[in-house]
Amino acid sequence: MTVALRDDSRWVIPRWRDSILTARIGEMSPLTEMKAPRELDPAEFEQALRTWAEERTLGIAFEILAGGMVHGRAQEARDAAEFVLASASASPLSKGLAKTILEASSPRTQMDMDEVEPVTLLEERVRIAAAKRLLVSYPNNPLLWADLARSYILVGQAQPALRAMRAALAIAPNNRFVLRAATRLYIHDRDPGKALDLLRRSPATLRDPWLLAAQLATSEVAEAEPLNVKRGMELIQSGHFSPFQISELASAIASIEFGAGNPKIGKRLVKLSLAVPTENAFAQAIWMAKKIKSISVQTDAREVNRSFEAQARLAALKSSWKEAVASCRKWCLDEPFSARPTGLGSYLACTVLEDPGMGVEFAEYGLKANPNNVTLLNNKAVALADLGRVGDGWKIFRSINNAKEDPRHSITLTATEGLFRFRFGQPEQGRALYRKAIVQAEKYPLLKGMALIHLIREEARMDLKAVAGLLPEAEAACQGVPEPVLQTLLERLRSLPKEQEEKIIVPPLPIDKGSMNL
Amino acid sequence: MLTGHTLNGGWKVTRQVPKSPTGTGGWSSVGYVVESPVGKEAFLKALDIYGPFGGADLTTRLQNLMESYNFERDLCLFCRDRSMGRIVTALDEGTFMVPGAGPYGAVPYLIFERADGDVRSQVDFSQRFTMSIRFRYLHHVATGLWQLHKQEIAHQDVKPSNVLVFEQSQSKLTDLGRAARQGHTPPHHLLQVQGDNSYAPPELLYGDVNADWCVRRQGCDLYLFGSLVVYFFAGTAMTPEIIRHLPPTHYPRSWKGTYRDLLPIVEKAYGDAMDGVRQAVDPDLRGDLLPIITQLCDPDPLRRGHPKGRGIKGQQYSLERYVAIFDRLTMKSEILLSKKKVAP
Repeated sequence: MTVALRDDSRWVIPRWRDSILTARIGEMSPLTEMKAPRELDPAEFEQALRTWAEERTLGIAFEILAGGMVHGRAQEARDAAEFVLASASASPLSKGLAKTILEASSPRTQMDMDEVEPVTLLEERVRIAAAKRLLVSYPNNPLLWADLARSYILVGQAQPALRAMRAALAIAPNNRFVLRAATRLYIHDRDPGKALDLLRRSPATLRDPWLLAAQLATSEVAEAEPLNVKRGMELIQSGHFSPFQISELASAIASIEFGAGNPKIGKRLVKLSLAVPTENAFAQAIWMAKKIKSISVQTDAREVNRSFEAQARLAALKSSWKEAVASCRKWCLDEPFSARPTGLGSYLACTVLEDPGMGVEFAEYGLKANPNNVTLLNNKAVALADLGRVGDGWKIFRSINNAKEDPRHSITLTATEGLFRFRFGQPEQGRALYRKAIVQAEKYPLLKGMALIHLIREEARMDLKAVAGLLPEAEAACQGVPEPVLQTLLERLRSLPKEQEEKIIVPPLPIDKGSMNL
Repeated sequence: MLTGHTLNGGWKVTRQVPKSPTGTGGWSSVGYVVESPVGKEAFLKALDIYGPFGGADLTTRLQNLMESYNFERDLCLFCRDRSMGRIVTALDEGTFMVPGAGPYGAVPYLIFERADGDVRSQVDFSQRFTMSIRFRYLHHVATGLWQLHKQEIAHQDVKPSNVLVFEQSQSKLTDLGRAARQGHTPPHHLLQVQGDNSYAPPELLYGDVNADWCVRRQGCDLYLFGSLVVYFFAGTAMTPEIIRHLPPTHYPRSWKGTYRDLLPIVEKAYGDAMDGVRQAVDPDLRGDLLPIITQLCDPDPLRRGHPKGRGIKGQQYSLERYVAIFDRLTMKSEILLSKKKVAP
């Protein structure tokens, strides 16, 4: 059966984007800001503009482009930019500069923060090569090492990524970007203890709300005692930081306070985290609001840059499935190494959207950086089976290694094996496996409901009359489970035709016994 | 105002010329063409007390003007006396009393060699701006800067419009109006960036002023020279290229932290900019030029300069090696050019 990744816990673990994008978002802004703005004398730029009115040459046009860029006065350099672009003798780089000026001066791109671009494996490898080349000149640039680590993770090479991150940490053990990126990497590498150790050892953590937020969130992931909560409150109350800078810290402490049974403080902190939220804090608030009804999130998602996760969650809560999947796509591109967006995307695509092709696409995308993720492998196997490629799906399924024997994974895999038995024409065995999974899932209502729904779906493939007999059991199991997907799937089962002769929603799939290796 | 008059020394003012479009100059001026008694043309730069120059009130304005004029005049004469062949030096200087204008009709002036123009008019990437000419001009500029540096003067405003071109492919550096001299306080010393902001090294745009004169001033000259190399061979300047690869929140007018905090990001943006430069430079020249550009334009002024000079007192920012390199490249390209001409 198709399942979502576990969503019973969520912490404000730092996002890990490349350094330039992180800087654009404002997560690398200085803690102490200069009081007086920098004054740059615009005399030469203005003189060039005056001359331009009388003498339109490439040389003057270039001076205007350069001045427009340095002084941030792109609007006044538009005319010169258009001139350079139209000139046959202008160099390619000056044309590139002209394009930047035109883009910067157009209203659309004052800063289109929500732009995401798909990056192929080949492109990522080209980036790795470029980063290595640059590192020859700048071996002491920690950002280059951290970005290189990210690129390695995106192509599924964890060991070189860890080596690159170690280099970044050796150079800049107290750099905010490096520490937050390392935190995310070690959590991805299932070593949150190491991330926590780094954060706790850095003297910067106690004075930087971004780092303290990461430390508190990582404590929860590592199941360690969250230290420095009091210090976090001091930073929040100090008045030294902008609401954006303390957003994640407030969110991290809010989660801890809710966990400790202090909802009043927690709610106050959630409100504070949403004053000018990071998208991570915003997504955290939405996740908490789903669990704790008294939390209300009034923030407009359009006002928070790159709030793809929050938008996906909000859309899923409203059962706007297509919108949710579209946001998942953007979330995938924003955080390509994370299994969460692809897990949610493949889950929604295979269940409520009934689009197994898209499910495979999501799962494969996530598997690039998470090749052993049980949920993604499972969802891919199920999606392939739904596409009629039962043999291919079975191969994937057999390759899944549930080494940690997570009971949830065991339940899922038992049910999925049941699905394959059905598809291979062994309904008795399939039924038995589903039943086994349902019994195992007694403590996990979501999994139980999902297993029942999948069982009904398989039965309906063979005989629609079986639906009526199983539906009440599924309805009872799903009652009170705060998961709109279950309700949507149940509704669809209810609307299935009663008789076999009537239209069958899902066409029967080819039986592929030959590839079974039981 | 001066046209038609004959100045001390027999210079005859023949006509007024348009102001240099982006000449920094340091003081407001009006340009004229003058003719020597033997009929040789020269360029006269006359102080313009009516021009736009800082200072809210008249006395401050006059004081600024006079200080700037005197500073440039003294520097030009100093360079002339030291026979700096690659610096456009003053042929003459003086004050002309405009007849009938009374005691306030005094016009201080400087007379320079007259050039054919500046390199901007030639950098249209046409055939006539050959590789050998580019290398030759760069050799001249490096020599000019080296001559200045040896006398503990930093130019601070090296840019295409300040490289004047003369006949027979000769070029010289001009405009000492924003220069700095070790041990002297120039009138413009309070400015965050002494020269043209559009070409200035990033550390100065972000207000990172190193206490060491050599790092601050000669380091700036090295960067500007490297940017000129980029201009000659890639058709752009380093500073706008770096900035366009930065997030807008980190542009000089937006960034509110220190330059040291920003440096890793600037270095990354610089790397992206260098990728573009690498593509733009002729593949045959990349091996020679890219290391030079990298050494000269490093965003960290402490890392600028030839690697062999780093860490050696007085050597890090020395242009001597670059003078030799560009001399060699000029000769190499001239030999290649002559071989091409000979080849059938």
